[in-house]
Amino acid sequence: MNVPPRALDYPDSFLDTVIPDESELTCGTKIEPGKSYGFFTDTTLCIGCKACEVACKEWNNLPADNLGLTGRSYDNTGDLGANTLRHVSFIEKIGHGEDRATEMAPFQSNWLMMSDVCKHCANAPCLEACPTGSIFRTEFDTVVVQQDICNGCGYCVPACPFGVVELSLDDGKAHKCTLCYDRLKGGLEPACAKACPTDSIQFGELNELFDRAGKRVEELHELGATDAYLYGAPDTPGATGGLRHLNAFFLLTDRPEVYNLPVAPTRASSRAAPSFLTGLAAMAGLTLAAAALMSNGRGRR
Amino acid sequence: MNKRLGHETWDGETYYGQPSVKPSPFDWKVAAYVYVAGIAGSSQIIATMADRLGDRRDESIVRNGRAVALAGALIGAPLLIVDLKTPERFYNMLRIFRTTSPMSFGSYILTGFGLFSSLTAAGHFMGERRRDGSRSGMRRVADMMQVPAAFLGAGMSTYTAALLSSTSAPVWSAAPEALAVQFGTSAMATAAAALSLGERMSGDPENCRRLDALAAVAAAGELVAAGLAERCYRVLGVEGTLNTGTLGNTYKIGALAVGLGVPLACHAINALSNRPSRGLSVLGSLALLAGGAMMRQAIFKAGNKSAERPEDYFRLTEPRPGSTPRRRVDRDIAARTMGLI
Amino acid sequence: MDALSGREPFIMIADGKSALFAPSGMKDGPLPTHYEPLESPIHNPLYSTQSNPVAKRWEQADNHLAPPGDSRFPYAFTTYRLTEHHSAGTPTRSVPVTAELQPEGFAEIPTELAQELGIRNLDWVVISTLRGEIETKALVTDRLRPFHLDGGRTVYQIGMPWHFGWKGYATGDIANVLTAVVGDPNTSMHENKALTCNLRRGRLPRVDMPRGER
Repeated sequence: MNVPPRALDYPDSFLDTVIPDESELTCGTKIEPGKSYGFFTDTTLCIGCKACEVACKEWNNLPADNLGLTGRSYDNTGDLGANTLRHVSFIEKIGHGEDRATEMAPFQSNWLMMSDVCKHCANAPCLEACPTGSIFRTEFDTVVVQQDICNGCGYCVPACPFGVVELSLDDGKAHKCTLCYDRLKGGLEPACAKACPTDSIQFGELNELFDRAGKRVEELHELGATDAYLYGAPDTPGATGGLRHLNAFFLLTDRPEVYNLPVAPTRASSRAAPSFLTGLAAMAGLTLAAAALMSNGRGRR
Repeated sequence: MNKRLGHETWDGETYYGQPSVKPSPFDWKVAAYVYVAGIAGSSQIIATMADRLGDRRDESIVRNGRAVALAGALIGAPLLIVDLKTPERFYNMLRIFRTTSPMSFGSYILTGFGLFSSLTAAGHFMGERRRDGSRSGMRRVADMMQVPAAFLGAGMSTYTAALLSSTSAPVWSAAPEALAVQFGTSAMATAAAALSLGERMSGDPENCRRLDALAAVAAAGELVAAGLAERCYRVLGVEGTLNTGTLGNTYKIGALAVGLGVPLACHAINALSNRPSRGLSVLGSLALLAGGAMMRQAIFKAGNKSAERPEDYFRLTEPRPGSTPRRRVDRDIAARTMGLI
Repeated sequence: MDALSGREPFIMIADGKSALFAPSGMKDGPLPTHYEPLESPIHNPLYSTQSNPVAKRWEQADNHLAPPGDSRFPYAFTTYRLTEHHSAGTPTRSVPVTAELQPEGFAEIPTELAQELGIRNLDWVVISTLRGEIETKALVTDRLRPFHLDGGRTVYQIGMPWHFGWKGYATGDIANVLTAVVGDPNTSMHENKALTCNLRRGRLPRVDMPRGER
């Protein structure tokens, strides 16, 4: 068994303290401030168990937002929101009627499952939109909303190109996945990554994850799953329009829209300067018109 | 069947019709603020032009303009503060200055405009312009403060368009430059309309001609901008929300036909006739004011509604055939998804 | 665990190994053969004995079995688990964050059958067997494939998670109202994964309406 030697120091089932640098034992990564961390979510390993959703809600003490049976396959959660920071999507791709697949596609068995989360974009539009500085970049290169500064203006909500962050009307602040900032500070990997039984959600240092993901795509192509590709890694769909890359990126096997993701999202703030400057130019022109009209037929003051 | 991204374009499939982005929490209060901010900001510009370039006959324009600017700032700021979901922390808006966020630099524009408009109005109403043309000390202070107020007034008239454009809502982000011109021209037109009515009620009706002319010029500009914006929406496939249903009617009939068509007709008739009609002038001004409000409401609602339509958002974020994006990664993704590889 | 060799995993058998020929210990041995479940939509195509002759049956008024191919109950019915709930649902349906994952009971119905009976996704349906009737919501899915049998006959299968009951945050009618009490001859394991049923759109007339439906 591939057990890290340090794990043998903690053989008991009940410990009276947190294991220092526990993430080294659970996911092979030591968490150090100053490095970039993120998620690689490999949907070909997802079994749709929703342990990530439950672990996240348990750790962050989030209430259930029971929407009732949605009829959308096994997805009764619906969407990411202020009280749902991990959301598992289910898409049945077995075909209809006579066209039903008779052979299971390699990986995912014609039933796509994907655990959606905040993408913690490298050039996060929510951060760039936030006027109070509440949303900031942590020492682990993740994006977090500081709850004691946010005044609930809600500008981050339409700014996000993935529809992740949401205002909670219960407490009047914006909420989204923190990549378990509090756990990272304690040397623990995020709750969802720890709970995931198949290691579909992999937490680690970003460059290492990009490497691992690239190799996984090649491996899948060789095994016959030629539809596999990365979403959100550098130079892939999702990492477009100035977003550079997503710290939480994915391995998908169908078009992004099927998973409710845009092919080529853009960095919203790239429109601020062109819009504002064009507006000012228009105002300059109108001011000249106003000047001409106000001075028309008037002598000198 | 090889379904790799580069061999198939989007066939319209969405995730059960679930929206892909979230609508803003902005409601009528923010739309009303944009309207009021535009009138206030542009009124300050008109007042400044009248003060610098006009004569004694334009005194009422200056007075009304400065009053409207102040009133706008005093109404606008509370509208925004109340709209915050944690309003007691409104001062955090000035905690940082972020150039990427129109809401951030806009807060400073609003604060600055409020400050300078207050000083201008205070100086104006506490001072006087004497018969011989000289001005008292307070009045001179007002006339100095009006310059930064006017510059910030230009900001007030258009930064809100940059604010809407810097989001991911399809209708708002589809035509950033056209929207800015649309908001700016609407601000100037509604300000001129308001001041024209002001001249009728408490000033010199002779001044209405030039204010109506300014309103007409701005309204014409707004019509052009709206047309350019509509073209952008059609090219990007997001014209649905502003063209159909009640919202489409509010926009096309309310904002454009009534809000721009009627005033242009009224002011054009007046401009071409020897005896301009008082009624047409007032009708034109009222139509502009109503239309400006309807335009803001329609654009706000359309943005939020388009955010709830995943097909609009996916059409917007599809790479376009024939487009040559600036970034290499965007070109690569465009090539892959359009089946060119 | 170290006492068990990896090559003897069948721990309920003395020598730990499985066998095709079981000389002793099996009430229905020594060789396996194909038996249809005690309730089946078809006659046994392989063997003249329809179903296991030594299966445990309890003859009771509320425990009748439909004869094979009974046209009153033409659909195959099965029950299964969901990942989100545990057994009878007591631990998971009473905890909000697990209850919201599957908040209501449902039965999965093939698209073709749903079209035939005019059932849309999330409609209420009534499922009936000789033991009783329940109502639940329909989840129409392509994952359930119709069985096309020799001779042009199509048999539809309906699947229902059996976690639900009426206490807790996530509720639904109880699937085991439909199953018969029959047991495996050797282990007495309840045969609750293969039976026949009928299906119709609609609801049951009830004096006490289910929670949340008032």
